[in-house]
Formats: sequence, C-alpha cells, structure tokens
Amino acid sequence: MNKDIFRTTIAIIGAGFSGTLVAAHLLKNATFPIEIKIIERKSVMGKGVAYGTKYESHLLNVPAGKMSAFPDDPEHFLRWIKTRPDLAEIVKPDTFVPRKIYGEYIQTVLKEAEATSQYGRLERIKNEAIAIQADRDRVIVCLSTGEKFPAHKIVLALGNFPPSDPPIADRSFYTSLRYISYPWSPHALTDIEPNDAVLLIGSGLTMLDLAVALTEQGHQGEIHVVSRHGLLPHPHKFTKPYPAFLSSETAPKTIRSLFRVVRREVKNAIAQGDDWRAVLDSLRPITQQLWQQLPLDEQRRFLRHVRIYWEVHRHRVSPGVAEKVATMLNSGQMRVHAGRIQAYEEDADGVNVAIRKRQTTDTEVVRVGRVINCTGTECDYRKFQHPLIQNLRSQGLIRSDALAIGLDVAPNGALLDVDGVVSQNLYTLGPPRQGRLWETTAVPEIRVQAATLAKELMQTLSFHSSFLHN
Amino acid sequence: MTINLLTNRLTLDNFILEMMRIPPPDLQIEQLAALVSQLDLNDILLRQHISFSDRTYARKLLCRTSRFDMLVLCWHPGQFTTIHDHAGAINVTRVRSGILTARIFEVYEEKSANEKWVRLQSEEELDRGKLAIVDRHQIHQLANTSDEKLVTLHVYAPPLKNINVYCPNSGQVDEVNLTYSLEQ
Repeated sequence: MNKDIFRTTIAIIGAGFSGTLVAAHLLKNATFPIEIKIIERKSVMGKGVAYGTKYESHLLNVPAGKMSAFPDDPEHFLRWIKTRPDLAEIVKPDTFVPRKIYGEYIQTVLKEAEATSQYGRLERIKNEAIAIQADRDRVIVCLSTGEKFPAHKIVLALGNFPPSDPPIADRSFYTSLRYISYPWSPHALTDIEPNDAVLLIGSGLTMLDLAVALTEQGHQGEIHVVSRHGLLPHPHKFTKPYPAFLSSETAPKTIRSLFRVVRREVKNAIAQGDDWRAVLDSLRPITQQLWQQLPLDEQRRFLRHVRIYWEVHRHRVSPGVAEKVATMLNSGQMRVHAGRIQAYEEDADGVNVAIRKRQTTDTEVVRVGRVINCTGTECDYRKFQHPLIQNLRSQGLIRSDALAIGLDVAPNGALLDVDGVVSQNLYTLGPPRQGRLWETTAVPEIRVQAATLAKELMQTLSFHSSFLHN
Repeated sequence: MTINLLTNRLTLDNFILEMMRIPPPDLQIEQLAALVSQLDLNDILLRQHISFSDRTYARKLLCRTSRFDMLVLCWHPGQFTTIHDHAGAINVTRVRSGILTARIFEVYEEKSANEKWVRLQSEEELDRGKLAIVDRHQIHQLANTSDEKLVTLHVYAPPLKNINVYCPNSGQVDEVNLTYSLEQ
C-alpha cells in the first residue's frame, strides 16, 4: 500500500458513460506514469444505466452520426460501426441505434485506450465506494468490503440517481410487489400478465422506454400513463439547420422575454416552411451560456413554468419509438391522463389508482396489476441516503447548488464544499453539474466535459508528478 | 428430510413445525435452505415489517422460536453489513424484492483468536426468490449495490445472540452482541 503513495493515482467512482470517458481520455493523453482506478458497483463496466438495457427497442435518441465519444473525432462511432459486420450494412449516420450497441462501443473505447496507453495503467474495481477521507494533498477512498486506497484526485461520475416515489398521503402501497419504484429494475416488467393493465407514472423518455419494452415482450393489456401535464416527448425529424437568431449578448435576461423571443422565432420559422425543431436546435450551442446569465430567480421561474415544455421539445424521441407509441395511442392501448395520483387501493388481484384530473376536481379510477415509477431522476442531493453521499455531506465536502438540482461546482468541474471553497481533489461531471450548466445530461455535452476534465486533472497533476519524481 | 410432500409451499406455522422436528445440532444448511425456499410467507405479513432507515439497513424481527430467528431486512441502495460470521449459527437469506449482493470471505492468515486476516473469496448477485446460504462458521457480507431498494428475509438457526465482526484493515475480530428492534 505504501508504494502506492508515490504513484499518481486518480480514482473514478462510477463506470458509466461519464466515468469511462474520463478514464479513456486519461489513458490516451497521459504524459507521465499514472494509475487510474475505476470503481463500479455493477458487474458490467462501461455501460451505466442508459446503455445497460437489454431491450432492442431502446434506441438512442440521437442519430448515430452525432454519437461519437470524442468531440474532436466526430466519425469515431460510425467507424466503429463499420468494424461490426452485423451493423455495417444497416446503420447509416441518421440511424437511431439500439442503446445496448452503444454500451458495447463505450466498452471498446475504454479497452482500446487501455491497450494503447503509453503511461496510463487502469485498474477496474468491482466494488462500491462508501466514504472518502480527505487527507491534506491526498484522499482515501473507502470501499464497502473494508479496503481503502489513497488517490490524488477523485472524479465522482455518479450519473443519474433513481426517481423519488411520488408524494402521497398513504405510502403503504410503495412496499407492494405490484409497485416498482425504480424503472430500470430487472424486475420492472417480469411476472406481468400479458392482459393486465399497467400504470406508468411520468410521461417522459423513461415512460416511453418502458412502454416500448412492454410491447417488445408482447404485452396486450392497457398501458395507462399519468403525469401532471400529460405531455409526451416530441419525435425527432430531420430538418435543415436554422441560422442562429440569438447570441448570449442579444438574449434577454428574463425567462418571460426569452420565452417570447423564441416563440416568435418559431412562429416566423413555421410561416417560412421551417421546422420548430431547427429553431430550438440552433440554441443548443448557447444554451449553457443563456442559463448561466439568468439570475437565480429567473432560473427558478424557468424550472417552475417552462421546464416541462422545454423537456418535451428539447429531449425528443427517435422516429421508430415515436411510431410505436403513436400506434399504441391510436389503438387505445395507451391512455394518457393529465393529473395527479390521489390514492392507491390494493386488493388480492390488483390495485385501483385514483387520479385527479388536471385543473378539475374530477377523479378517475384505473385498475391495474402493476404500477411503475417513471418520473424523472431525483437530483436533490440533500435527499440521498447513499452512504457515499451521506459521508460527503456530513463532512461538508459537497453542497447542493442554489436550485438543488445537482452539486455546486466550479467551472472546471471541481466540487465546492459547504463553505463554497473549491476542492483541489474532488471533481464531477455529467448530471451533477445540472445547476451550473442546465444542459449536461446528454452525450454531446458529457463527452466534452470528460475530455476537458481529463486535461484539467493532467495539468494539475503534472506539477505534482514532477515534484514527486525529481 | 421430512417435508410435507403434498404441497411444497410451507406456511409459517408449518415452517415452525418442520424446524421443531430436527434437533438443532443435526440441522444441515441444505435442509434449512430447502425449507426457506418452500416458505410461502404471506406478503401482507411481511410488508408490515418493511421500513427503511437512512443511517443503515433496517432490521425487524418477524418471528423468534427456540429453534430459529426470522428477520426482515430493508436496504436503501448502497447500504451493507459488516464482514461477519454467525458464531456457529447457520443462515439462509431469501430475496423478497430487489437485488442482493452476497459476498463470502476467507481467512488467509490467523495470528490469534482475535486477529484473523480475511479476503474476498466469492461474490454473487441474487434477485427475487434466490437464496444466500451461509454455513456455521462462514464469514460473509451482504450489500445492496443496486440502484433499487432491497428487502430480504433471513433465518438463523439457532437464534442469533452474537456475531464476530472482522476488520479487513487491522485483522481484528470483535464479538458483537445483537439486539433487535421488536415491533411495538
């Protein structure tokens, strides 16, 4: 263990897309001897939740041509596809590929980086980090099996946390086997009678995943969907790029005005025969800047009033999935309810769910055999009971951002402690940066963050390394 | 093994009766595993004992007889036990919901009764209905390494009075007395 102190070590907690990409960049670009320890609690490394799905019908929501893991090599994913005889012929740049294929790609990216690394050494640790002990210029990572090891830098690549159970007066139904609180549970869709009705809570992309997985397994019963607004994600459509109509300088600094400007632009675009999608997509390069220059109250206003509309227009679904869902809606197999769940009444054969319809006092009762929570991921770190998060919180090493939709981070991804002091050795990327960036959960953003963070870690460590080796 | 062959579902009453038939020293881990796998525990009964704790996994005693303890454990993602043995008791755990990570450890160096160095020997992930089996002096650890909540049913024979806890960093072995939170 003591010999490790003299080796520069970076620990990455989490081997989903974020963590794996940081590791790959470190391996590719290390200019001095470096040890990378990547810790993953699942038996499969490098796939994370999103790309760990077993269902063929779970497609990427971005076409293959835009899914390279490397921002400076946009063709990388397509070239990898060409090496696969089973895919080369059928996948084109505009194809929406099954997510499990993308998981295999990410694993390959890491393996290649490992095989060709000049200075980097990778250790994969199947375990769970449960605590971090800060110790001057180093930190100690503690694992649930009791082992500990020192590291000079730690990257928390935590991804998305599970959704919270929807608030309700009587929570007893949440202990039922008829209730699935985590939509990615391997049990989510097992033991469902093909003719039983199912209720999906939430109407975003996760709900669509569960709905198409149900059809993939031949489900015949009704699929009820409930969410406050009852809005489903819009489908993708290929459009010609729309010229930038806003810049961070010209953009208004209130949500109301910003909303108005965008709506007006969409209206004009449609009148000229353009598509609203192209207008929204033209904002993507400046979304993070627009977000950052809004005052806190305006950001809050966005979350309260505009977020839902932003989500369904911005996070679109592949045409293939949209088509399946349209079929389900048209046949009446899928019914969408805008409203809130009031109560669950369970008996031996099923559960009656009372839904109060939006902006009315009317209640509709649907009877189902299974209820699956597909609400968005929980991102309020004050609520997390995970030992690692509790440990970091109790030591004051992390704090939520002002909106409590992620962790407070510096521009370089370093975490801020409870007093707002920038950490010298704890970093994060991806979803925890949501408060700072808003747009930070998709591959196009995270791949840039991973490359930049790896560079940042190398630069701050190279001084340290020369100090050690001289 | 005397198992009622008319039905391979055992109510809790029948489970207790079967346990009374076998003198504790003769009870083999395979027999206990067979009985626990056939146990048809009314989920309504079990659900009354499901409650999670933020600090660590929650433990509720569901039934205690002279021959065994039956407990329900509830785990948030990330919660885990110490590395321990059951001081001579045999133990079978059945997964009710979620995914259980069960690890077995081995002693690779024994300096004294209070200093034993352990290392991970095997690890498996068990989902609904599967059993984790721990023999009289095996050292193990249970954890929820998944993203979903976990509820497990545990049987210890004879009833668990104390356990030995192993520290992988110091080699130290500590005897720990157990107390259970009983339903009010």
